[in-house]
Amino acid sequence: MIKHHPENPNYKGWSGALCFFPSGLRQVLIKVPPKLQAELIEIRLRVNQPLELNFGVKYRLIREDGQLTDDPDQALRIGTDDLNKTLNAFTTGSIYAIEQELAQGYLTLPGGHRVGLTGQVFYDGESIRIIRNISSINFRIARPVLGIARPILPFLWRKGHFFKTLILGAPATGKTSLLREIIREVSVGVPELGISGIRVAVVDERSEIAGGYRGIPQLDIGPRTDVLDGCSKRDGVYLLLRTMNPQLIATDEIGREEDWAIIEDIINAGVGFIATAHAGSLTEAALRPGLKKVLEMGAVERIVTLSNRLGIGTIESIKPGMDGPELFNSKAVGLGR
Amino acid sequence: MIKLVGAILVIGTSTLIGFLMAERLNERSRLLRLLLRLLNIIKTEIGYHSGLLTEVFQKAAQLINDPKLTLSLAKIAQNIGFGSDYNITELWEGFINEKTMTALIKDDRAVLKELGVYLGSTDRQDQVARIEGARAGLQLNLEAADLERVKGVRLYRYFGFAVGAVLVCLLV
Repeated sequence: MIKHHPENPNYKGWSGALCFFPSGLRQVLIKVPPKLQAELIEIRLRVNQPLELNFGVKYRLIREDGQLTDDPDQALRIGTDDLNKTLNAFTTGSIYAIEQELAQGYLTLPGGHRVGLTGQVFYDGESIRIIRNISSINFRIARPVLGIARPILPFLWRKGHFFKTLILGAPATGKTSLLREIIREVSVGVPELGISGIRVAVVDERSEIAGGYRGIPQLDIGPRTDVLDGCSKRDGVYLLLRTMNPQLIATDEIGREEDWAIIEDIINAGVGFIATAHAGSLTEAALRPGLKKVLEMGAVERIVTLSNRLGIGTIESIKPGMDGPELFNSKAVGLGR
Repeated sequence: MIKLVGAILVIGTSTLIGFLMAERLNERSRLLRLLLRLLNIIKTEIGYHSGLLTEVFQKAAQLINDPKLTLSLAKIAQNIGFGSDYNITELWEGFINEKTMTALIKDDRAVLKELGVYLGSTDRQDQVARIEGARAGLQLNLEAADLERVKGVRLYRYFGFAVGAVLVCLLV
């Protein structure tokens, strides 16, 4: 019997994730072999397409009897009705309560799980009002990956100073997971590396870093971390600077034209920052106007580049700036995922 | 002696039927008042607190102050949680067709049924507008029900007795 309550601790991890699916899909997914359950990152439902499971380095389909397959003809197909039932089960039918998130194409669920959505977009003036007639659902299972930041922390911290850091990587290379772990580690403190716990303030525009559900972080981000959930960077940074006296400000996915001005303000306020950005490499980053300005400001002291080459979260490089020398000697070390 | 017992039975039964019909009128007004209160709670919870439907119905179950409705609303709250196979339209329709709602007439059900089709599934502003629309519909029905009640309750009670008495006269 599943208890339907947002604070149910069972919503965490794989078994918690299963609680959100309607019974038909739950009965299929529960048959995924236990060894593979731990590797499962995403469950993807697309209208009139096979149900797809993302295991990080490979994608598999699933049959109605729960066996994995690569043959689309044998795989369980998702119909419009399945998608609607699934969305209803994820939202409890309360679209009005999540309209702001729906307009941005995602939902955060208790336990920190995230659901990406696509479908028909309706505009209100120039901004998206809502996405209806959902055609794809991407359920991303929230799992803490404790310890993944340890190998790179010595490069980001020196003598009580946290270097202004940018984490680069293509989508789904583990940028946010790494950022979350760095936040947690520096918030807790790592005595063996001489890191005392510091006050971290997070502007979590899309609830991805802390997995906020109704503003409450669902993922461990440390005891000295304050989170502004669902707040724009523009508003959030100034609010945090004025009110929370942070030592480090963290945010996700910078790169828009206006973001460089926000980062400039953080730096001028004498506060450290760490952020992520979509870019497969430094060269790609330099091609994005917003990132280019940030990099050219010379304010970024550490640039960490991630890839999926040896698994999600492979550290490709750590550099002190655009043209600086490589700092990370053991190149291409996976982060254990 | 047999005729006397028969006459008492006939008059007693018809009077009882009259009283039951009168009670049905009372019950409809009482239910409509409760439903108006329920819609007000739902409107407040959706419009101002923006809680999920499961919480909205939990809250309504606590506040409605009617043991039978409390049970029904708590059942909806339990069945609409995360991972549920039910949708609110089905549950709401089940609710308005429950035994406790038999005093409602077709018009009352039509207003509630229409609300159930959209309950939860549009933005907050639209939800509030639809609930207000349903409340206005039920309010009109309540006014009509109260008028009918004022005229009907006494009428049904006397009419039940009178029909019984006429029957006895005809049969004797």
